[in-house]
Amino acid sequence: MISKYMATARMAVQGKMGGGVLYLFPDMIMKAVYLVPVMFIWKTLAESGYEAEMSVSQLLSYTYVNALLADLMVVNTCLSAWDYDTRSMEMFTRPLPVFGQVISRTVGEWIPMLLLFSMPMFLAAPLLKIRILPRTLWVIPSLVLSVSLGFAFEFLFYCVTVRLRNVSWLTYVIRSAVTSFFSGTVIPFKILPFGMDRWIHYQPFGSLGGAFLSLYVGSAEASELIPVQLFWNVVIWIVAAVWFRKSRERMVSFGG
Amino acid sequence: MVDKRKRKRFYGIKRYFQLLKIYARMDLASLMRDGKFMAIVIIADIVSNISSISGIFLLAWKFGGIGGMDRFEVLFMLAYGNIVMGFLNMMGGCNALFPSRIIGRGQWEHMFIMPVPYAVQLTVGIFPFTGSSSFLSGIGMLWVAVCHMETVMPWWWPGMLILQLIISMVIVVAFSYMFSSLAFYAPVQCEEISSVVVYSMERTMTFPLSGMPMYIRYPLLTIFPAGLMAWFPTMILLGKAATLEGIYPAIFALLISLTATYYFRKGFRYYVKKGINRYVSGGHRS
Repeated sequence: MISKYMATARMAVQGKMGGGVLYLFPDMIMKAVYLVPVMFIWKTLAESGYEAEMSVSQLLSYTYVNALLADLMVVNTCLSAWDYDTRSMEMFTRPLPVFGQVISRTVGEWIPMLLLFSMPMFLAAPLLKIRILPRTLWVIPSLVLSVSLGFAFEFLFYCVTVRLRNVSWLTYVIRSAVTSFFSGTVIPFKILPFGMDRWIHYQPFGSLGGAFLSLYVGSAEASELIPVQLFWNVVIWIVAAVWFRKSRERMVSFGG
Repeated sequence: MVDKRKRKRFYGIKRYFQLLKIYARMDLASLMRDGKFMAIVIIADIVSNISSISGIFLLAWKFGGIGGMDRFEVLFMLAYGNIVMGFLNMMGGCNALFPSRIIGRGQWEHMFIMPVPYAVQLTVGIFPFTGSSSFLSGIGMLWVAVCHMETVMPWWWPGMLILQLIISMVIVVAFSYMFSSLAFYAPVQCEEISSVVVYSMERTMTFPLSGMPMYIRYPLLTIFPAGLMAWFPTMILLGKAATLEGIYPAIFALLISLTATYYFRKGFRYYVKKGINRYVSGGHRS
C-alpha cells in the first residue's frame, strides 16, 4: 500500500517538474518578492526604536522560516484548487482512499520547492544573518501536528465547496481570508495589539503554521501550544471525516 | 458620411451603456434569486478584504505607525489599495483583469464572433451588486482614515485622488496584459500568469515602503510596481512626495501601457495564425 502512495507522490513530483525547472522560478521569485518587504518592516520597526514582545532576530527568523516552509504552514491541496479539470472527481475512480491520495499527492508536490527553494535558502540564512536553527526540538511534533491539521482543514473546506454547489472560488476566498490572518503565519500573534495574543493561539487556525513558528523562534512554550494543537487535530479530523463521508455523494463536476 | 459616422459612434456608446445595464441586471438577478447564497459571497468578500489588510493595520496600531507613516496614514494606504483592486474586480468580472485566462482557455476566439469590439466585451462584464464589497469597504476605510488625519486637504484634493486611483488601475491592468501576452505562446502553462502577477502585486501593495532602503523601494516602483498601487500614490496625496515625483506614476502608467500594447498585439498576431485547442471531448480542459 505504501508503495502505491509513494508512486502517487512520485507522479506529483513529475507533474510539478514536467515543464522543467524553469517553470518553478516564477513561484520562487514571488515568494522572495513577498519575503523581502516583510523582513524590512521588522527592520524598519527596530530602527524606529519600537519595543515589541519579540526581538528583531526572532521576527526575522519567524518570517524567513515561514517563507521557506510556506506550503507546509498552511496546507493547500488539489481539493481547494479550482476544479476545472475534474481532479477531485478522478480520485473517486481510483482504487485508493481519497484521503491517502490527497496527502501523498500534496507531499509530492511540495518536494521540488523544498529542494530547489527552501534548502538553498536554509543554507543561505547565516549569510543573511538570520538565526535559522530552532530553539527547541518540540518543533518536530509541532510541525507534524500543524501539517496534519492543515490537511484536516482541507477536507473540511472541501465539504464546504460541495455544500456550496461546487463554487470552489468562493471556498477559496473564505479559506484564504480566514487562514491568512488567523493562522499567524504573516504577523506573529505575540505582537498583536489589544491583548489579542492572549486568546488568539487558542482558536483552531492558530494551531497551523503560527504555533510551529512560535516554537521555532522561542516566543512560546511547547507545554502551552502542543496540547492545543493535539486537541484541534482530534476535533477537526473527526468533523472533517464525518462531514466528508456525508458530503461526498453530493459532489458534482461540470468542468470549465 | 460624417453624419453616418456620428450616428454609428452614438449607437456604439448607447449600446455600451445598454450592455452595462444588462450585466448589472443579471448581477442583481443572481442576488435576488438566491439571496442567502449571495449573502455568503458578499460576506466572504468583505471578510477577505478586512483580513488581508488587518495584519499590517494592527501592526501600525500597535507601534503607532510604520516607517514615518502614522496609523491613519497606513489605513489610508490600505484603503487606497482596496479601492484600486475592488474597482478592478467589480468592473473586470468576466476575467477582463485576467486576460491570460481568456487566452489560455481558447476563449478569445469566442470574442471574434461578437458584434462589439474587444474593449467593450471586456469592460461591460460588471458585478456592481455582488462584486462591489471590496470597493465599498475601501471607500469606508478611506473615509475613516481621512477623518482622523491632521493634514488639511486643499479643494482640488478629491480630483487628485481620483486621478491617482485611475493611474494605479491603469498600471495594474497594463501589467496584467503585458504578462498575459505570454499565454498566446504557452496557453497551458501561462493560463494563470495574470492572476499570479495581480495577486502578488495585491499582496505586496499592503507594505508601507517608507523607511525601507532604496534597493527595496526602487524595484517595487519599477520592475514589480506594487509600490505604485498604494504606497507611492498615498505619499503624493498626503503631500509627502516632491512635486516632480508626483508625475512619476503617470509617466510609468503611460510607458507600461505602451509596452503592454506592443507585446499583446505581437502575441495576438501569433495567436491568430496558430490558435488554441484546449478542450478534450468530455468538455474539460486539457
